[in-house]
Amino acid sequence: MLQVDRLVKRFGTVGAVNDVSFEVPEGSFFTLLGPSGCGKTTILRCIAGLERPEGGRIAIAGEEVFSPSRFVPPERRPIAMVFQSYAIWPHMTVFENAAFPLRYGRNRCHPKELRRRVESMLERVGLAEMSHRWATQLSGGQQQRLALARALLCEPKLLLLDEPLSNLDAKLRASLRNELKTFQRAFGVTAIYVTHDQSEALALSDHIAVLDRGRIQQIGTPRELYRHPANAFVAHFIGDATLIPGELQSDGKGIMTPLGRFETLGPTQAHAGSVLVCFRPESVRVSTQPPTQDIALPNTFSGIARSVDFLGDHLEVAVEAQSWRLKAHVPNSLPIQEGQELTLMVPQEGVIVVPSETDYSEEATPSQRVLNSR
Amino acid sequence: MIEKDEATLRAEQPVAQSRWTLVLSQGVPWAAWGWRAGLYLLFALLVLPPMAFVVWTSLKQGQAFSLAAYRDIFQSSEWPKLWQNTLVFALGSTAVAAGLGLLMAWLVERTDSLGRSGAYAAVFAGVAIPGMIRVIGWILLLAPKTGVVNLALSHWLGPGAPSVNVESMGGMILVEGLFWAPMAFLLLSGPIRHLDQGLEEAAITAGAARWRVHLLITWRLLAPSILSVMVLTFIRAIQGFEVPLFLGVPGNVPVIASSIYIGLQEAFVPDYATASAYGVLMLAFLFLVLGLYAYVTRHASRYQTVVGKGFRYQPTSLGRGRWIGGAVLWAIAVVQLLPALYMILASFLKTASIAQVGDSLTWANYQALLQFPGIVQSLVNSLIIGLLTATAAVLLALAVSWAMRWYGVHGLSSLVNLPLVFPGVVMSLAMLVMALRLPISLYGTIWIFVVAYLATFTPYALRYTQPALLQIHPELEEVARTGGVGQGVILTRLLLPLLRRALMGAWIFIFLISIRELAVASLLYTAHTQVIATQLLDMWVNGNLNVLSAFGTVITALGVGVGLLMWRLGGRGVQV
Repeated sequence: MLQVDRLVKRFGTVGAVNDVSFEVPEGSFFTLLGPSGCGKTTILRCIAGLERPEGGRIAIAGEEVFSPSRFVPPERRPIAMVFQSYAIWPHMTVFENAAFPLRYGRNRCHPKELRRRVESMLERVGLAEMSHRWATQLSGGQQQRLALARALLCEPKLLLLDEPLSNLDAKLRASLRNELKTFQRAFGVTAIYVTHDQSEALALSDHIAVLDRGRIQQIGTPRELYRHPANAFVAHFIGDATLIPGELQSDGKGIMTPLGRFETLGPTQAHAGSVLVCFRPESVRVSTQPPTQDIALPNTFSGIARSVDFLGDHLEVAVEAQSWRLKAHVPNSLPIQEGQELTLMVPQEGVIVVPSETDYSEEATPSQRVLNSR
Repeated sequence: MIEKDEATLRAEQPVAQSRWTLVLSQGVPWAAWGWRAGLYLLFALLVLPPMAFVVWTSLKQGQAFSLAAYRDIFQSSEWPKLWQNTLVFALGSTAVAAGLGLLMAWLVERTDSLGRSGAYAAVFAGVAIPGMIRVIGWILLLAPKTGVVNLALSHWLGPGAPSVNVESMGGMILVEGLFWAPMAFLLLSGPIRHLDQGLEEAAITAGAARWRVHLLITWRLLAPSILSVMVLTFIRAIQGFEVPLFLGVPGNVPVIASSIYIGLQEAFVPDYATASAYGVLMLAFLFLVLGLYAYVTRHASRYQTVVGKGFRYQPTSLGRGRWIGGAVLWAIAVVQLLPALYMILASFLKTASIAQVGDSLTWANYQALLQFPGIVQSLVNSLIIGLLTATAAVLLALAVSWAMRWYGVHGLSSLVNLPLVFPGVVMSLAMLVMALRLPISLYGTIWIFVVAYLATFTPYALRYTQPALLQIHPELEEVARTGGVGQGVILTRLLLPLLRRALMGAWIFIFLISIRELAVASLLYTAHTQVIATQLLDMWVNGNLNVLSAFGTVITALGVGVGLLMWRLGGRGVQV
């Protein structure tokens, strides 16, 4: 449905998007995820035609809408967009807002047909009773639904969503998130979603592209990204992760780190030399037994509990192991005191090896690195 | 993560804004180029030729170029006096206007004073009643021998009674200062209102004495706003025309603006070279002042905290002073209204003296007014010129702000705003010397007024359209584009409705100031192309004061009517 090929966009001399390529199959929900300034909104605006890229190719539904020799303006692309600000026109009623694209847009229709379609759409998003109110009288969540209804009435082949939930409070955000996914499935529309919120991305998406500094770091399903992050950035950005630098050993299975030897079940062939050992808090097994010679075993090390947070179903323990800080999720039955010495073990299936060539290691000292992670 | 994101997001804002402009200029290169070139050309033609012609004329002696006009000015015995008068007049009225404006702003925004509506009544009077009417009203009241107040004083106290002479430097300063006090109030009330109380409380809780807090924090933070108001008033007073003409000429207090006009009016053969040289000197001086101001305020962003969140101030309690504050505010309002009120009264009197009030109220002056040659024609001319100017200025301002929004032509605004530096009489002179040399006959038609007013007033219209357009989020347009809506529909169905109030406000304001402009019109009219302001000036020179008062009343009624319309449209009443 959408092909983006080697897209390049610069602002002045600043490269906002560098050589980005991806494909989105019909009917799927695709998310561009990354911290602010990573270029995700710029990519979306290039797809919409609101920005003109410097290079690359974009095709929507098989039709080329941008190439170095061709630029289709936004009004002639088969799209609809929902903006962060909702962009509800304040001088119109709810009905007029929703009807505007059908009156003046790409796919116009007969007034009778228009009334029927707008009314049934407002019904579906739960705004039927308010259709004659001024759009400014709506609450944030209602404006959001109106913006979505207006976009869907354009009958787009591609629905572009630019952080549509970020202006709402947390509770509303969660409920609208579900609605959004329901609507997308019900209408069968292909959606491109931009967000900096990883939990939103994980919950909504069929596929996610993680971006940093204008480059795609990894594309995959939420599960793949979480379980097999391609690099330290993705590991940090999706979920919580502890990363320890190490040297891959010649047996191809073990990694020597300051915390001892780690072994993994995952593939290591792709890497060589210096790598990072990555594991998630829920993979860490904690024992309150004082460390014995067990710590000579692979994947096992000792540490001191620096803080213990009770989070209901589990404890979140911040552990200091040598100069490294890491998080572990522990059953809430375990009696752990702050300052207590612990034995920690990460089973082989929980150990992920990622390449260390990102400039991450230059930026942060070991302990900061974990503090920055989520 | 989210906190971090919001912080970086905020830091990113400027980038995001410049992005809009960059994008579209790349998206539609030809359209952008066309807009840019067209608007630059239009305003260059409107703004630059008058300036060039006035410089050229000042250098031309017969067929040759020479600096003789400047040499004569610098060698004349009047020159030092002229400069001194101009500066004293401008500085004095700046002090009066800024002082009164600050007092009003402080009473309204920071105290529990009564009668705060008085300040807004003063603002309304300042906008609605033409300056010329107020000056003439003051003369009717306070002229040395004929003024009603002075007549009354000598009537009651006998000969040798003290008299008040408004036709003096002191009188000029007070009247001009009163002109600009409401503007100073409006410009200062914003910063005073938005001054974050926390900034002061922080100093007080740190143990600083209250007077020290006021001196070191409050006034220090307000200093840039006060300075900018003073610079603005100073420039306005240097440009001032009505007060120097009506009060300074009879009182023998010449300033540069009035001497340009008088020099041309009184000579048998007008000496355009000398007049133009005066004009060039004024322009040079005003550019110098603006340049200095820009230099002094180059670090003004350091005070950015002043434009903080809208904390409502805990007003200072004045106690019994509340009454005094209210009295002061209303006194200022009454003083703004008084001359016009007396002029209305005088229009119903047989003579200029108030002594016979009881027995001689009459409509005769209005009947005489109707008979007066050229009155109706001047009204018609002014209304036509006002309609044309207001419509064209609003359309031009809309085009300029639209181009600035989408195509990032920011240099354009300095060009459009250039005429703000022109004193009205210099603009008038410049248009005149230009029109005399143009192959088409502009002089002697009403079009010369339209062109001169358009150049002079378009910057004011821009003050309405630009912020209004800025307030419309780009996404409101982009969502329509992505929905397949064309630019034409976006303009007519989305932008114009959203801008309606601002455009109407701009239109009415331009209409209001063009129908009563005197300085720009002063050298452009002929016997067949009188406008109401020049007609009034002619009547002042030749006519009966009571008939003139009747005409003044009609003009005031027109001004108040239009002013009320503007007021009803909402608070964006006064633009400076």
